[in-house]
Amino acid sequence: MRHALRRILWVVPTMFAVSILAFWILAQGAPAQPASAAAQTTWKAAPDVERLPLFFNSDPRNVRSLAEQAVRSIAAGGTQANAGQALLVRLGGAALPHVLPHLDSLDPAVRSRVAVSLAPVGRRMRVASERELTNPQAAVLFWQRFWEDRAIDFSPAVVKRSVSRVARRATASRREDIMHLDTYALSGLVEAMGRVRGPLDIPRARHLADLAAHVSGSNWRIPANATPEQAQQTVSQWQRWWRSEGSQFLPFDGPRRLSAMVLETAYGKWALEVAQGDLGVGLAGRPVLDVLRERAPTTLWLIGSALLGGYLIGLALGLWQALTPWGQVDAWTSLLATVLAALPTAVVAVLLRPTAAMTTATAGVLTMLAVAAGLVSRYQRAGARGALEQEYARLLSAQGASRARIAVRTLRNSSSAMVSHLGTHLPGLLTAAFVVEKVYGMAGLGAVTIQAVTEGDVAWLMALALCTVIAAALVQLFSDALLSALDPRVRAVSAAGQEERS
Amino acid sequence: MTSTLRTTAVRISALTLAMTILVAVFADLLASTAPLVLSHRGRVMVLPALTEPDAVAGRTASEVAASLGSSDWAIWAPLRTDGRTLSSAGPSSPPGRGHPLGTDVHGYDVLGQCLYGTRTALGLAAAVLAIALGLGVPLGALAGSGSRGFDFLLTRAVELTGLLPTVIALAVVQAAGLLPSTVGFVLVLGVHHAVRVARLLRGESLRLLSEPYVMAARALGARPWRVVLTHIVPHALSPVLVTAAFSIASVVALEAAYSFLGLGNATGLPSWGRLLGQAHTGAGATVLLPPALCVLVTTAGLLLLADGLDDAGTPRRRPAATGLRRH
Repeated sequence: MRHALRRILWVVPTMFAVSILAFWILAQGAPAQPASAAAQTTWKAAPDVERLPLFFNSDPRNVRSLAEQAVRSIAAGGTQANAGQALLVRLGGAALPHVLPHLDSLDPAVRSRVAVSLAPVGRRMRVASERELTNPQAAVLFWQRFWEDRAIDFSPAVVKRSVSRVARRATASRREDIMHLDTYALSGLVEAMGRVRGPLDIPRARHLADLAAHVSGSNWRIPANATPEQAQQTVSQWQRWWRSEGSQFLPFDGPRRLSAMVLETAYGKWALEVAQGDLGVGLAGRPVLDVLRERAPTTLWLIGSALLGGYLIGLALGLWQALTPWGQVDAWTSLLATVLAALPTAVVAVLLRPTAAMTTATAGVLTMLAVAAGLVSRYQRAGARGALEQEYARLLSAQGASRARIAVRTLRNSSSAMVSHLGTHLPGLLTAAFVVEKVYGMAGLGAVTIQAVTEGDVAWLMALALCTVIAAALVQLFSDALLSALDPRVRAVSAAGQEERS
Repeated sequence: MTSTLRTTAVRISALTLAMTILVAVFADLLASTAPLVLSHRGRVMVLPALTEPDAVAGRTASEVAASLGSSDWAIWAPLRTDGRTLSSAGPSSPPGRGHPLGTDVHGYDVLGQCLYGTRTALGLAAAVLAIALGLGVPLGALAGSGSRGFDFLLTRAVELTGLLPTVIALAVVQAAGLLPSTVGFVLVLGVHHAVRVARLLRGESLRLLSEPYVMAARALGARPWRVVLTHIVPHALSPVLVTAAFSIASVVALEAAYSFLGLGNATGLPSWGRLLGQAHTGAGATVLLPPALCVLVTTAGLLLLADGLDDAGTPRRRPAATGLRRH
């Protein structure tokens, strides 16, 4: 039991190692990502995941650094100024606490340029007249006064209060409060969307999504007659966007900066999404999880039948061979087993196909059975031959026990070799399943994976690597448990190992 | 009588393997578009394809033959194509003159591809084995003879390779596209098998460390590396040899499977798996059967040889000593 627990605990670091290694290798290749995955979010400008450092971000992107960068670009003038203005407008209210207090310290010309650049933000916030925003002198004056009056509103506590008020009942004045905070309220808005469980949650989600769409300039709104499913879809779209893009609206200080150094990386974002059950979106634009749900059963069915049926057949075949050693039966069946183990899976599959009158699923299962049974019977034969040499087995046969009785009596000892191979057999079976799927044209994981390799679909490969590691760990745990149930010595050894370590 | 059958099987498999290796090494003498010996305008060239590539490169056998004058002569290889040059017989042609096994769906000679596929399969297997032994033996010996750090490293590596299927690892490496696909294949499988070898060697070393002769050597003050090199590794090698035979078998089988899936070598080397991969493009039995037989004979031969080596390594299990023989 403790042994099993230790195995489970070690699976987690192994998973991390696998994912980090795979992520690193895939990132080295840096395959060109077609735009299809990002097509639905084209309005957000440029801050794609690929540009993040892989594992460590010494200077995580945040609203403070972005705002300073925007002001610098505006100061530089020329085409850079346009980009800086666009960035400043996108950052919106969240950038104000990092821009307005320093307005006085800027060069007068730059000061008025920055103030005028903020005009679209002011319009969005609906706080000033057009003249106040576009006239250079008036704009500087307006924003300075604005900050003197409202600096106190730009605090997390105010955001929290306003958002919870608007979530309860969205009156015009409460909505206005949020608009005055602009993007500064985004974190609260997205957080308050929560989950849409029933029709009662729709109005709340609708108003919050409306406000979030208003301040960020997107069009992810929930129509008035939306079903809960539609509403939830939009809400999760917002949440996914916030997870990947939220950092540009947040300042990072102290411990948050430290965690951002690790989390604001390509790997950190991926791991965070996986931890929340989101395996990402493949290059074809479909969520990886959906594709897995749709296709994994076919592959699992093939592998499962090989693990269950193939092992039972192999066990029986191996025992039969071992109990009639060096006879005609043994010679022919071991030849058959060797041929089955040595034939390429593709050939077995092609040979089984012409025997019509069966569906591809049956043919696939039969192929997997043959491939697994051939290999397993070889292990079982070797194991049984070893067990039959033991004194007690020879005594049994000297006493005239029947073959069946000897087989049953030695089963515990003879099958442990086979069981210990169970855990390591899964990878081979996965390859075999891919081949079978390809020969019979079954819609399993194989075709998608091969396509992912040619197209460089990182999301799919990472998800698949993670899932197979978990599946293989489960099979190994099962085989370990079975082994220690069969063989008391294994239990003794693992217990001794425990004591030695502790 | 049956025990001789057993040893006969081992002998036959060893013989088959030796022949496979010979085919792989001397494929150029068996199938080539260039003549083995060519006398052109009084000059005699031996193996012009290797010694004077300019004279014959890029030309099919019939073109070379047509360019010969009346006084020139040539000794040809048994098969006048190499499976890499397009045949004039066209795609999917039945067996006939010049193509004993016909051509595949793309128009390449099947027999030529099978012969050169032997070289690909065994070459890859040899490369994988070199990595497996070169990495696995030192790591296993170090882990087995008391280095805690290496022991931990090995345990984790065993865990990692045990949990991550080679197909997935290979898919990740190929998707990154950093390495030529054959190199990726060799690296992934090499590391995988190295861990297996290391684990085996670790177990053997632990067992041997408590043997009296090793204890005696240590008591006499032999340095640890000396004990490992002279007393442990040589005695632990026989099970490693068995594993190596199994490894080659599995590499040959996997190369076929991966090439079939399209994950294997994309470098254009002729391989058995690529021929088998034509199964779903409507290729007939004349295309599929030869590579299938090649894989079968090689893999089965290696499996039987490994069984034989295993039996030879454990004398008690030799047929003559088995008490249950008369059943």
